[in-house]
Amino acid sequence: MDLYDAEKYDVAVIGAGHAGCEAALAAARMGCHVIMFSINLDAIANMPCNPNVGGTAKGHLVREIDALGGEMGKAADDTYIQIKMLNLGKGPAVHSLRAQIDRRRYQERMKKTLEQQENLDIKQAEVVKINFIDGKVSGVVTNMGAIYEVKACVIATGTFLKGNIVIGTLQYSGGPDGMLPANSLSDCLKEAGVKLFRFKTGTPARINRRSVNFDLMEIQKGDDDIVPFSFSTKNPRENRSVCYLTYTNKETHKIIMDNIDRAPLYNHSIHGIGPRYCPSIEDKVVRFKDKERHQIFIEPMGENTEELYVQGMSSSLPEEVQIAMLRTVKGLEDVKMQRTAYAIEYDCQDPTQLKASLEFKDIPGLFGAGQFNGSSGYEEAAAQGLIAGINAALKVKEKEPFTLDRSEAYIGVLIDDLTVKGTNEPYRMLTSRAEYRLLLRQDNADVRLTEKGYQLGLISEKRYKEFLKKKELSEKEIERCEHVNIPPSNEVNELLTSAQSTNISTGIKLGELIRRPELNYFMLAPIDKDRPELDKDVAQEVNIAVKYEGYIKMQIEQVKAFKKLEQKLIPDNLDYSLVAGLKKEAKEKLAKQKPQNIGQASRISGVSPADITVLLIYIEQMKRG
Amino acid sequence: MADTIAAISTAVQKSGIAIIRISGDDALSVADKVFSGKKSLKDAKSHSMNYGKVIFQGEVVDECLCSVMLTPNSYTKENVVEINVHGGIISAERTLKAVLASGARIANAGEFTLRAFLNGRMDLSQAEAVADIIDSKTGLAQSVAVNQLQGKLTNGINEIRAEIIKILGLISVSTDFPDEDVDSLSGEDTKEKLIKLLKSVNKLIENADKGKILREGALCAICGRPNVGKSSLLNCLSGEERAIVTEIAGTTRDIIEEYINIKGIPVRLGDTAGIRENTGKVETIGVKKAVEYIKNADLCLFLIDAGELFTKDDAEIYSMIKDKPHITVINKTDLDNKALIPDEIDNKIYISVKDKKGIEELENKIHDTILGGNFSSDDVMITNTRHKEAVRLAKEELESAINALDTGFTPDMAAINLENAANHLGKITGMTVSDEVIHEIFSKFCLGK
Ligand SMILES: Nc1nc2c(ncn2[C@@H]2O[C@H](COP(=O)(O)OP(=O)(O)O)[C@@H](O)[C@H]2O)c(=O)[nH]1
Ligand SMILES: [Mg+2]
Repeated sequence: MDLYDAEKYDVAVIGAGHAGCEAALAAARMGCHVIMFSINLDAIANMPCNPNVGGTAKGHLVREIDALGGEMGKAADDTYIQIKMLNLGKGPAVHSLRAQIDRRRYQERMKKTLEQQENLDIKQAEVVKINFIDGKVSGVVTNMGAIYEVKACVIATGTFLKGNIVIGTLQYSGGPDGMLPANSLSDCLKEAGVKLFRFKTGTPARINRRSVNFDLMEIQKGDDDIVPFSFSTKNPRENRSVCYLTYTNKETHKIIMDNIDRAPLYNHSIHGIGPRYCPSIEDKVVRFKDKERHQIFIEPMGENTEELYVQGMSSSLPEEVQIAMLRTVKGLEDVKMQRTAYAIEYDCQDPTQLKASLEFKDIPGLFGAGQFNGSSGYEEAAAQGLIAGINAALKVKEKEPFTLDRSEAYIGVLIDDLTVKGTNEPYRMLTSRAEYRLLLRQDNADVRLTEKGYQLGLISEKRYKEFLKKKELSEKEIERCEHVNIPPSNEVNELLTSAQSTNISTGIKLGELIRRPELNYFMLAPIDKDRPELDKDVAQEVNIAVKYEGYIKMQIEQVKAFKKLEQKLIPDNLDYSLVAGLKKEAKEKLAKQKPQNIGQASRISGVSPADITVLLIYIEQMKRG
Repeated sequence: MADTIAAISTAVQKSGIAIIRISGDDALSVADKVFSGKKSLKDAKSHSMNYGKVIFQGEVVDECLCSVMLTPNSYTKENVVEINVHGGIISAERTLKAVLASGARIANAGEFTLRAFLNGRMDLSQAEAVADIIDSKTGLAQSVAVNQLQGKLTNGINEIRAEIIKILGLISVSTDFPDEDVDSLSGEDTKEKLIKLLKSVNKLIENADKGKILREGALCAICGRPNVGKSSLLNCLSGEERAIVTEIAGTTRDIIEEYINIKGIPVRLGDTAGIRENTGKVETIGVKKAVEYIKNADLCLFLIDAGELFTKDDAEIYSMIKDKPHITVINKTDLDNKALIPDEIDNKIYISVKDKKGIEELENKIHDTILGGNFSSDDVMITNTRHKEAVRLAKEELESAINALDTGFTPDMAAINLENAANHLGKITGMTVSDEVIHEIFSKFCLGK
């Protein structure tokens, strides 16, 4: 291959999936010259698996991305065909948005945004090599022989690295959705000392709408009262389509069990580690024998296609078995399968090699994001892409890195989990992973992060001003609720009686009434004479802040304790072998991972509270000399 | 230069192991005065364990293991000797006496930790939090018996914790996978499970108090109006003539305490001043002290004179103690019974100190009342304040969770309290509650696309 010197850039982004897109846009918007590579430009922002954005905890990530000035929320708002707030019957911490997306429209929307972005060039090519000078990133080389000199590089290769497709006994080297794999970059990374893993994921079949009998299925609709992802979306679009629910049955399970020896997972021809939360249908049937049926959701892939996604039927069984098992399902008796379900194995890296900025601890200028870091999911990828892109830009500008901790954002939890605890399966965000989740609500993502996005230069002046106004309104109103006195009157007690709430005989603070389980902020409007006119989202925030005040206060206290440990820094070159009293395992883990503070150290597996005590004492002694 | 201090640092009656810790410049020479083994402790290596006997005034007190930790590699960074004895609280007390007679002084509360701080081991806030951890760590390392006991406790706590994680799994699965057809846990179901759990926690806490009693002794107050025979009973139970016995009412002014062993339980027995209503108001400092003493007591022995009428004073005293664990001791049964004790006075036992009648029965009753009768050696006991605090905090969180459900909050809100509870009950190394909950979800439920 003939090499040639191509242009110089500040930042190279390898990969144009959900991580790559956010990384490239963020770095470019922060003023860096960015080049983004994709093996196929038609794969930009593709959704090779489910055509959804959001979901439990993932919806939180999207809103955080949006508050920081990322693109995913806006792109989803422009292209969804159905949207729904999940868990509305539960506490506010776990409300999460999820949307069905028109996959093609989303790709086009994102591709155009990239193409129109100042400072950003996109390029169809495979990056085969990263160059280093003195251990630092100095450039990237494409399969065309072009050498791009860069100061920083974000790897966001998704499932492309040494991608291997598995369908029954069929195996071939390939990327997702019929794309070519990237087979060269892994070797270069290994040479640079990066530790790689092999993970696996899978996707179900796609079928043709005309071959489905929806009469036998349950219809699943979106919300009537629509909340969009982006805080800047003013007029959210209507729902345009529906999903359907059907089930597997004994017959389906029999076909699977009769052919289980042909399943790669069970005849050991797959070596990658798959995620527990998204097992293949054969895995579900084998592991949960007693379950008589499994749910199948039929989801549209877009408005301009008859293709449907069969959620719940991910598989790597041979194609003929897949067709047979699909046809046992109610409503799918005559189904035509357009794309066969497959499993894909791919290279990713051990994320404990990264700092919280997503830069490699030992390779200055090299950043990782998305599935390459061992996560799964578009939203997890986008969140990391945004942080990696921001930090690549800050690196170029020789500024301090930007990080979020566990008390600030789900993004912080995600990155802390990956970089401190590591993962032994593709990592999915869950609300149960966020210990301070009542503070990290989807409704207040803007309050938590807009300021930071603005400081980074990713939030416009106009949007920032609007945000400040909104914030002030809600703060004032929360304050007012705690001070306004509601005197007893016939009108008040009539309202209370109708809500089956105890009547009042003396004055009571509005906040106290809101906190009664059977009441809320909205219900009390008729007796709250001085209530200002507020937007629905502001009113909702006020309601939550007042109603859950007790829990919120408690979590704020917990965060204070958490921050104390995060602020106890561990000296950079601490020699753990000198710390007497540390267990051997703890010593090794700490020396390998080099946590930056005591909080991180305490979350490393194999490090016990007693080890932390010993470490604290040692550092204190060092300080005193 | 640091003077040498000593104290009993761990005492576990059930296993019989107790540790007397000595710290300071002369720790080794002090210990050598009471220790007799193959070689003297002065010649022992740091972090060595030395087998021998504790000798005091020519008598063998107990067999022992002595661990030696030389400066600066000890908890206080001073020379430290820890004497492990087996004979329970009594031999621990004797050993301590011997050590104190050999040149050490008794340590003030928290003084070991204070020294650790002063010697640059840690800062004060850490010192407080950390003392217990290190305490239990060294304790653990040194004795298999203590280890076993601790193991039992850990199991007890872990069982409760595992149950919490299970409930959290049930709650989380329906929040994180709302579309999956798993049965989600209703508020009522959650509450029912939590109430059950709370019962186990309460049991653990009850036993914690017993653990404390076994370690520190139960505080037992003898009360009653003047001249019913309080001082006589104290002398009788302790076998020593400590308290003055006279026929003049009100002789005992200060509280006289004796450390005695009742059926294996260490008991601090206190003879309070006679309490009586005099011209309508409680008088004398002695009486005030008695009232305070009764407040802190684990058990009250309420003495009545069988030879006299039950008086207003008797009734007054009874009303003070009736809500505490108590035994009504009717003394002087050798005299004609004139007392006419009202029916509501319960837990009666009849004795005569003079004729030594009913004393054995009284001792049995004291034993059973302190340990709640149904106490068996298989019960899990909390012997360490850190553990007790952890369990207490967990209990509070469980109560908050139940309260939250009662006031209409959804199970996912109560889950926040449950996570706190699980955190209080301790982490498995490096594994956070959320990891465990997620593991629970995936091992129990079929989820995914
Ligand atoms: N007959 C009789 N006299 C007793 C008995 N116990 C104590 N006494 C006497 O009661 C008087 C008061 O006893 P004391 O112990 O000083 O009572 P206190 O004031 O309650 O401490 C003394 O003269 C004792 O000898 C008993 O069981 N029978
Ligand atoms: Mg007396």
